[in-house]
Amino acid sequence: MSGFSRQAVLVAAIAFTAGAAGFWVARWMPQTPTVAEGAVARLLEPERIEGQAAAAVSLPDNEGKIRTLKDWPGKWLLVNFWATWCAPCMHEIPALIDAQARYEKAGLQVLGIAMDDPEAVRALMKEKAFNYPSLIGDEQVQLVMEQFGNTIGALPYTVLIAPDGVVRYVELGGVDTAKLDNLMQRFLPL
Amino acid sequence: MAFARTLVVGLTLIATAASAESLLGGKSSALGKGADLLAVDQAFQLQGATRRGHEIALDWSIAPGYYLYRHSLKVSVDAPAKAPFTGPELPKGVAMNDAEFGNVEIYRGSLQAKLTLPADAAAPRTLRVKYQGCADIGVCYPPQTRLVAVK
Repeated sequence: MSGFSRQAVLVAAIAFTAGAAGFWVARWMPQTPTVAEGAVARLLEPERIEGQAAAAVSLPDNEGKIRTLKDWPGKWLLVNFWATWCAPCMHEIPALIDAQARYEKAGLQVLGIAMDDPEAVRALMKEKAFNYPSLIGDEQVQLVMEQFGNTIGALPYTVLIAPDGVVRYVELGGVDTAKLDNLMQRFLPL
Repeated sequence: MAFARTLVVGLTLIATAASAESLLGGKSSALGKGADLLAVDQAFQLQGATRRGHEIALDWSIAPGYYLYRHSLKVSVDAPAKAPFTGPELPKGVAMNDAEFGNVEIYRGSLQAKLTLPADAAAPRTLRVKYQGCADIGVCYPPQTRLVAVK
């Protein structure tokens, strides 16, 4: 190949590469809102929470009684943050009910914490035949979630707390029976 | 060699752009042990309320991989109290069937809600706007309420 031909191929390759890169950038630029620097961060921080003492919680339950995590001494607490407006939260409720039934004797206590209207929560707990209690709150629940490492406020969010009050595991997004079985086998004295 | 080097540089550029897309879109985020999600105001950017004659337009820019529910979008007047309007008029959304919520409509990409003002009444200066949405990776954000000045 002559020097001129090689140069022509090189120029064509650069033009193609620049075009392809431009296409990729242009493809997302018009659809993607401007994202402030640092906005896409690790908004969930399990490494900051796991192994640490659980944050204090004081919220009314579904019967209006103020409860704290110390109300279930000696239990492995599976704390599930949820809401009736959250579809993935609704989908995981049967698995949580099942876990409560199957692992209660091994020391598990499932505890919901709903970011929702109390009436909506009570109606749904009745409809779904909850076998575990739920605390209820509004902005307060968001503050509690932040203390448990979920700084973005997204639901569902699940935290496993050992009987000694130390957080052992956190999970953002829905859980199912297989995932809960794995979690129980990993941590509970079965 | 120069040709090969150029191709390598080109492919690297493409790969960089592709990874930037997935980071911003959040589509490849893994849930569970730490997920990269947009903060709610980046996922659902309410860009403001603009009055043109007898109409007010509310605009959202919705990040790729996120969506707003049509049934959750509500608008009321914050000031002056009782300033009348009709609406919001919303475009047809994308149908979504949820096992719990049944058939719902969602919005992706962008959304404009329109309010219509009567000819002979004080126009709203501040609107109270409520909306709620989720991310495709399986989490939802709490309902949001924003006070928006009409420009």
